Amino acid sequence: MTKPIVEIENLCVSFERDGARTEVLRSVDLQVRRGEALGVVGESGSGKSTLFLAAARLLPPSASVSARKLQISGHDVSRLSRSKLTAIRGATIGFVFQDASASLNPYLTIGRQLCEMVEQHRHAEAPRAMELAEQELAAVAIPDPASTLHKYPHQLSGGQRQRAALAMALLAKPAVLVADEPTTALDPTVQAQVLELLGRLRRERGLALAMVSHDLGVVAGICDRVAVLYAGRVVEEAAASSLFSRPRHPYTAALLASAPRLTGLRPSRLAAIPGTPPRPGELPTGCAFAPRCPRAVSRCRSEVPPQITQNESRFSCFEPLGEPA
Amino acid sequence: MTQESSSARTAGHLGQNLVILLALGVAACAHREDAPAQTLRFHNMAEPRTLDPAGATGVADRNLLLALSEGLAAFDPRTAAPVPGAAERWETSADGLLWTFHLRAARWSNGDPLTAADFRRSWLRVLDPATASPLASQLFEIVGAAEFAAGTGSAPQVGIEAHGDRELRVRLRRPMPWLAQLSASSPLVPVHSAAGAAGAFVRRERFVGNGPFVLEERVPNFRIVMVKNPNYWDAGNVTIQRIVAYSSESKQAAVDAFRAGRTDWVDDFPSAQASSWLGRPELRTSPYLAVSFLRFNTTKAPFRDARVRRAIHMAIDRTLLCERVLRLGQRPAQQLVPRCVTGVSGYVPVAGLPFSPERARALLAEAGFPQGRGLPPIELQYDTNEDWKRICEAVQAMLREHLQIDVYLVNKEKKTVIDDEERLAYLGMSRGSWIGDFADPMAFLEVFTSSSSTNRTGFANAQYDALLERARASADEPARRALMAQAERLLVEEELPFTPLYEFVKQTLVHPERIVDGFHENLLGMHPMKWIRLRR
Amino acid sequence: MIHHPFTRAAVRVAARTAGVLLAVALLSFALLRAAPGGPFSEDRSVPAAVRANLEKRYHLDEPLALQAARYLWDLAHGDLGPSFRYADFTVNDLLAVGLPSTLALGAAAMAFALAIGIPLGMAAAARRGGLIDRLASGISVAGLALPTFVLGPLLVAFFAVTLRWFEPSGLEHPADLVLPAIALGAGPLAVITRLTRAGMLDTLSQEYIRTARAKGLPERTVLFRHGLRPSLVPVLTYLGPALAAVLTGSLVVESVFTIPGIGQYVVRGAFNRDYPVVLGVILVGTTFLVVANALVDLLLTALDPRVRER
Ligand SMILES: Nc1ncnc2c1ncn2[C@@H]1O[C@H](COP(=O)(O)OP(=O)(O)OP(=O)(O)O)[C@@H](O)[C@H]1O
Ligand code: SF4
Ligand SMILES: [Mg+2]
Repeated sequence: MTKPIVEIENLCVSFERDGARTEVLRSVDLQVRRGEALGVVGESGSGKSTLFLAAARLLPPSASVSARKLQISGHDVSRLSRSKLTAIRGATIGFVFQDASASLNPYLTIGRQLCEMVEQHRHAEAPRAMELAEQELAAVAIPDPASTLHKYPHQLSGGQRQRAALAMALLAKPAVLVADEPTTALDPTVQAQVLELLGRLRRERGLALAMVSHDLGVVAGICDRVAVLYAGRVVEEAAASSLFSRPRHPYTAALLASAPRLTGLRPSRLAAIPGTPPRPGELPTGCAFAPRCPRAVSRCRSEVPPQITQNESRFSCFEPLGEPA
Repeated sequence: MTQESSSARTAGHLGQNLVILLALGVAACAHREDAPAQTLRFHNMAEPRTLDPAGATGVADRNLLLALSEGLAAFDPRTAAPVPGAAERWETSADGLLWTFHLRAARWSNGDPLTAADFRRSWLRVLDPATASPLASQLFEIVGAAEFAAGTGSAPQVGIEAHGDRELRVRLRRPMPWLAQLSASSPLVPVHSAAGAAGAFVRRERFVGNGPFVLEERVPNFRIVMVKNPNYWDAGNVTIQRIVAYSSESKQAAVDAFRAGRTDWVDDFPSAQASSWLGRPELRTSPYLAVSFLRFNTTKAPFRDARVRRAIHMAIDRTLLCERVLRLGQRPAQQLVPRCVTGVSGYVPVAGLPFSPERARALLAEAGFPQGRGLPPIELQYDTNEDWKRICEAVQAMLREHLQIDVYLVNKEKKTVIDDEERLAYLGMSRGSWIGDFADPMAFLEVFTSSSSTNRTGFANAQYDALLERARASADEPARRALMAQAERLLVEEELPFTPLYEFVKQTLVHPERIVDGFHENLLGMHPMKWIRLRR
Repeated sequence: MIHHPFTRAAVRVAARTAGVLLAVALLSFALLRAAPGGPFSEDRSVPAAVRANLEKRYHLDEPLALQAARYLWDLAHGDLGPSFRYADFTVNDLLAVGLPSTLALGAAAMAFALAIGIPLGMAAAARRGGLIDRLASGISVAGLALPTFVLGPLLVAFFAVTLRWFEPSGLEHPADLVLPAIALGAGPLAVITRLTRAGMLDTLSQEYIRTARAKGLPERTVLFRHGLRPSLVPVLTYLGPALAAVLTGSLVVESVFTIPGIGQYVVRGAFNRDYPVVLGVILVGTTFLVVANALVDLLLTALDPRVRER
């Protein structure tokens, strides 16, 4: 087994706001291995984005982060010098964020924003950088790459913007690409196209992918492995096929039930799960899912269920579904 | 674990660098050489109105004009008495009606000879209606002058005659004992024939004068630079090489510049500031030919009644005002003519009515206002000025205390005050003052004649006018003085169209180590710069 | 491509300026004449005959409408008329002498406010709650709370009179601009510091800044290339009002420091009933403000590509 690119062990993140601390990630373990596609799913606020931002030390100063292990390509992220850190960001771990209209700088041309990536990580200067940027835009299937370079983000359509953002991340040839809900802001047809593109590029380039989404359908199409996050904890992780066919954790099961049969139709935002996810800082003792869990037993409300690891998968539940064979 | 704060470091460094850079720049600029030893720098009050003698009404104008030009006579630095200037001597006929000035051989700053014709032309220019000089009336005792100025006469009919290059004869209608003084004053300094050209009083290449200094630079509301005039007849006695006269309305700026050692002399500064300088060698105060008073609007009740005016007058404690409020050696005035004229003119001002609250109350009751009952609201208006404010407040308090009268203080800007006075629109009293043009009682008494445009009280008294007319016609000095005294008595002991308050002092700040000699106090507040000696 | 909209903008600015100037000229003319007293009301009242001559010379004896028309006619020919109070100068003279000083003072004040305010605001935002941030908030509170007429004399008392580092007044050397520029720039400095800080904080919380960091760009690049321009938009928007503040502030500062600029003529000219001087300064100031605001608009357009499109 190859060395994972991202290794996270016992990661805890809390935010300080108005003097109060709220824990949003609680002893999370996760790995992204070379070349694989990992899906991270969970409801809004479960800490999906925070997880990978913490990995690249991109959280704002109000966040406090602790971890037994936090490594990217074997480097201890928490101890990296500034210059090492900037070298790893982009070049080793690339990011594509949800809303390209906000995550691209409106004041700079697409070309400028792409070229600086090349200049920073591939040490190519102006004409060459432009060339590479143009090629990358072509690779993400932007119709007129040469003229797009001179455009500002607001002059592109939503889909094109997201493609440009993708091209930008890819230009530094990262080992792993964190795609944080890259298609949520797009309409369904475009969404499908971008997802298709992402899958293809990943396969062609042997890129590891961490796909963050609240949409199981999105994840199902691309990912090899899926981790399910609930209230700052990984409640289940397994190979995609086994997770979809035989979820062990009641929450995973509920997610699957609420997803419109993974048909690719727009999901109904998990509305089918009764109740709402707990607000961070107002977590119940015991299993965080207990208030909404149809299988909950009294123990669930007093003890935190331990993590049970079986083969390549794990889950945390006292009353898991589908007893192991 | 450390979070992202590297942006802080970058911006922090940037800020520090900028502050350091700025400090360096400032330090590099801050040092500069001091002015050379023989440069006199002084603060000359507000910007002069003009350097045209015919329009120069202000003290600031006068200070500069007398450095750039010289009349037939000049002022003695100690006494301000007339001494030979462009004329080396002069004589008066027995009846006082013919004056003959004998000019010395002198030159304009451009080398042209200075002649009697230059003076004749310059004096006529003041009278010329086309010049519209506010100072023209000062020459109206000259034969034909008033007619020329009014447009009914002509220049050749005016009794100013040049005989040859070096003799100027002046024929008068009535005696003018102060003519020598007047001929030293700024309105009567000569103007070169090229004057009238655009920029003649602004641009150094156009300005031609006959004074000890010539114009070098003029920046309005900032400074006027003058340098020594090598063509001046007495240039050998002038040691100052250069004069920088600063003009600004801000007295605070003037005092600050003096304190910072950037000026050697502040010509006039507010008594409100003076307390912090009392007892210091820099502060010099001296009697000044000026008087402060409150005008009454004699055309409106209750001041139509002279008894009410007298009552107000006698309820003001001027000694208290001078000693407690003004505190710079101002002298209480119960009369119009400042006592300092005596030294030059021989006139002894009248006593006036004393401070007497009992008599004041009696007068008020007699006028029908016992304890001030029945009086309409009385305003006391003054133009914006810290000194005037303090004075008017003191008067207000005294009238309340002694007469139970409530006076309302109204602060207006100066032009409005003057406009109200000219239209006799003010309700009661209005603060005013008068600076004599020359050291003769007439310079004050004529203000309140019925034909005087500066009267502004509505006061018109035929007897008063007649007394002054007779004084004007008199060639006999003791008789003239007696007539003037009689007029003044009528004015300040009976009629009182105004109530005098105090005689001014002039406050100057003079750097004792820089200005070592030739700077004296006199009643005209005149400090001819030709005589000033700076430390070498 | 650039040429076309620019010309159009220039024409628009010129037309707007002319319209504003005409309105301002007429309004000021009317207001000035409504004040009591006249230019020749002095302690020594001018005899009626002399006053008549003076008024005739300056056409003050004509009907007001005719005077206004005469003024506009001269104005159209670039002649702002004579000064009553400074009789040796025309208004054109006074402005020609004073304008460079005022512009130098204004430029120095703006330069001071921008050169200190922007880095200070950036540093304060970058190290929020830190020492520099507290310093910056102190400075901006002081800058807003201390009126120019208090700050000016304070600066003079300390730096000129006590320490003698600077001249207390006058403008005889470029260094003489330092204190007045500080006095005049303090208000704008306070606002610019606040705006930059707020702008920078706002910008730093933007997703594209996180993107820039995620791209592995060094912090310097993130801050200056990605953060600076958007943070400056509020500062730039404030430049118009700031210039107006500096222009009106120079009325006070020029008096306090005896700077021979044109600002001092507004108040003093009004007191002196020196109608042409006041009108001239107001018109020059208005022109300056209208043009400056147009330039700021252009600059804003150049800065933000999203505005540029409209
Ligand atoms: N900068 C921050 N300061 C304070 N709290 C934060 C901050 N960023 C995130 N949080 C909180 O942390 C929790 C997790 O946020 P995160 O963005 O990781 O969730 P997510 O799973 O990505 O949700 P979504 O699907 O809405 O993106 C949320 O409750 C959020 O309010
Ligand atoms: S531990 Fe209990 S409450 Fe939690 S998911 Fe399992 S069954 Fe439900
Ligand atoms: Mg998220």
